Amino acid sequence: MTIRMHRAACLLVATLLGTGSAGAAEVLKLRHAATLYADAQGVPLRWPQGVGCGAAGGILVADSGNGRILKVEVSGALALVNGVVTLPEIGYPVRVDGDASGSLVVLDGKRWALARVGADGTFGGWIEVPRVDGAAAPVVRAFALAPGGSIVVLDIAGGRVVRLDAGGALERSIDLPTEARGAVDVAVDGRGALFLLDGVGRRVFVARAGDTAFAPLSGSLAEDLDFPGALDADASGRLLLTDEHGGGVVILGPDGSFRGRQSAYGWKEGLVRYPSDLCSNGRGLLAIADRENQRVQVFTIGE
Amino acid sequence: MCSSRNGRATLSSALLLAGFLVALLAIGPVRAQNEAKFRLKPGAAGKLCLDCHVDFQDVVKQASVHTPVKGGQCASCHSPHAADHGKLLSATPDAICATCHGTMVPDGAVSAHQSVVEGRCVSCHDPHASPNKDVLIRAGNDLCLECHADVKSSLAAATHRHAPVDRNCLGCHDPHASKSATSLLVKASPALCLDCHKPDQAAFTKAHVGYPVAKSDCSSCHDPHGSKNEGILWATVHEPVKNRMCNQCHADSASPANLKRPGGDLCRGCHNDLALEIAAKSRVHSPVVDKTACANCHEPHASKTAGLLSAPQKQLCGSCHQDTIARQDRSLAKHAPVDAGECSACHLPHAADATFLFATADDKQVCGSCHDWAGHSAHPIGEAAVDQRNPNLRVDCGSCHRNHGTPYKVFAHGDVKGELCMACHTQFTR
Repeated sequence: MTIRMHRAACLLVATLLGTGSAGAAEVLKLRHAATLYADAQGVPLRWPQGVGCGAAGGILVADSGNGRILKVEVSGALALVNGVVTLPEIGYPVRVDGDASGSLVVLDGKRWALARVGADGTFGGWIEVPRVDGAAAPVVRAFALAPGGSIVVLDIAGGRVVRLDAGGALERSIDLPTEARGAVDVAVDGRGALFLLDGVGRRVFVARAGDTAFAPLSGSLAEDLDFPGALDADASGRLLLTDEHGGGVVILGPDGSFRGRQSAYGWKEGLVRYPSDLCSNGRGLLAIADRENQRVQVFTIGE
Repeated sequence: MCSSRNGRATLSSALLLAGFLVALLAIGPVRAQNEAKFRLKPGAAGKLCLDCHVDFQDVVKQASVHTPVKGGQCASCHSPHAADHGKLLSATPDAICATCHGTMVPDGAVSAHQSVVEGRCVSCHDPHASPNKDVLIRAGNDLCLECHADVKSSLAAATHRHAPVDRNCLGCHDPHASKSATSLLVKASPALCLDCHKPDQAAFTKAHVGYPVAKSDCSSCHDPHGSKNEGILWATVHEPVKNRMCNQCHADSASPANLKRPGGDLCRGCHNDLALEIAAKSRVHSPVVDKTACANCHEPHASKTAGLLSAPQKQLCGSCHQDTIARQDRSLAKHAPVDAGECSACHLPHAADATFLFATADDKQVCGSCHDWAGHSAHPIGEAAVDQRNPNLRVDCGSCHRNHGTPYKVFAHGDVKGELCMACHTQFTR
């Protein structure tokens, strides 16, 4: 903890003195805006594990313990559920995101498979991830939607990250780096770079457009977090990570350098316990699946 | 003894002899220096100390006498008038030994004996004299087993002992450091084992069902000291190995990498009940289903740990969950199951419906298997007690405690004299 404070403090001093390399756009501050505890009928959230900032607007929540997807509108300090999707096929949603048409992609944690859900809430079938020759059936640990409708999939049984086009055809496949000790999440930025979060090794890897392999982006983040659980790339090129075990959000610059830490472990609004996912909507909001507090919190992003 | 072992013994003897000669040559100048430094009468160096320390007259009659002692050079280690170190030593013990013996840990050593690294030469050697070779304080394996009690107890329980162990630990281990292998082994497995065992012999090949032993790590199946199992296999042996049914998993035992099915699919062939149990749960531990699957945690052939785990739980789980083990290490209070390496006392290792891979989402039940939470305090706890900080939470054990540790007593989230209570009961905050 002390080291973490030192790094954050050093960064602040360096930035104030103008000696740090962090540009203004790389420094990020979160301010608590709203907290979602229940749907419109008062049914409380139960261990929500996923949030998605769908391109159609609003925030999508994988309310895992209740086996449902919530569509949430955020207005100022209010976060209100305006749609609930419950499907018998998807018993334990753990990740969710949506495209501009309002269609959803949902990761079912029980099947480790991706499902499509129509904008009207109907089940649209399972997304078939091609199997690697000689490997076990694909196991989807995480995914990210890329601009243009393609899907980036972390297949831990195949030991790779694949990119499927909007029709489900294989566009790209990159093996997990041998140094990665436990991949937990993927993200994609506007330029097509793929980011891989190694939760056990506490590192981030990158494969930019055209690369055939992942390369380390960050060094070890062991000084900055306990155990990262999720990763997102925001519109400014920053990487946002949940520190699942330590409680908080860690910000990395586009070059993978540590740029700060926000929030902390706790119960009060603004604090988090075992945050398992996060997303930024490109319009100044960040949502966090605050799993063990059984709620979703929304923050405004300030520079 | 094999030829290469003899070769090594010859080399060691030559090195020892050379060292002895160097030490003898060094004594002359040291004696002269000391006689000059302390203005001793000629020839007094070896006699003066023994005039008072009469008990040493018997000490130096022992079979193995440290060269400076033999030469009466007490002042080569002790300062006769005053010193900054105990026993009037002229420097720290490790520095004194290093003056003549240099470092016993070669550059780039793969492993080194902890007592050597810490400069505790006297934990094995008597600095003056001993009835044992190399001024060792005890003879043979007794010296090693005095500290390595785990080996001693497993040897005592072993019904099949590896013969070289009874002869001498130094047959396989270098007591100071190893430049090429872990565990102070003079060579890594299998090279060390192949010095004595010949894998091309028919009986050996048959016993190993054609497995390419010469390219494998023998200690992945065998306990090099001894075991209760035939063939000194580790305490826990996978049934197909025990029955020499290699073809249950391998298409050809001579090509072990050629498994019949990938990852967990292979294990599911026999452990289908477990696979179904896992599939029925909402939350699966990621390593169970990744590319390496079961082999992330389990040894496929034999293991010293129950359940064929590749290491004791604290070490195994801690290899990924380093932060969790570190939290406990930093914590003021220690949770006994974590210290004891019993992670599975609270967590289900494969899958669960509850978060943290608890058997139930009700942490009172998890904690209640050891703790009498109902009699713990008069504080409301359970479904009827809504957490003041969050309408979705109920007061449970985790409301006040973090089981892997905090900076506070009883691994509470705050100081139990106020901070912890005030987190909820804000109306009493002054």
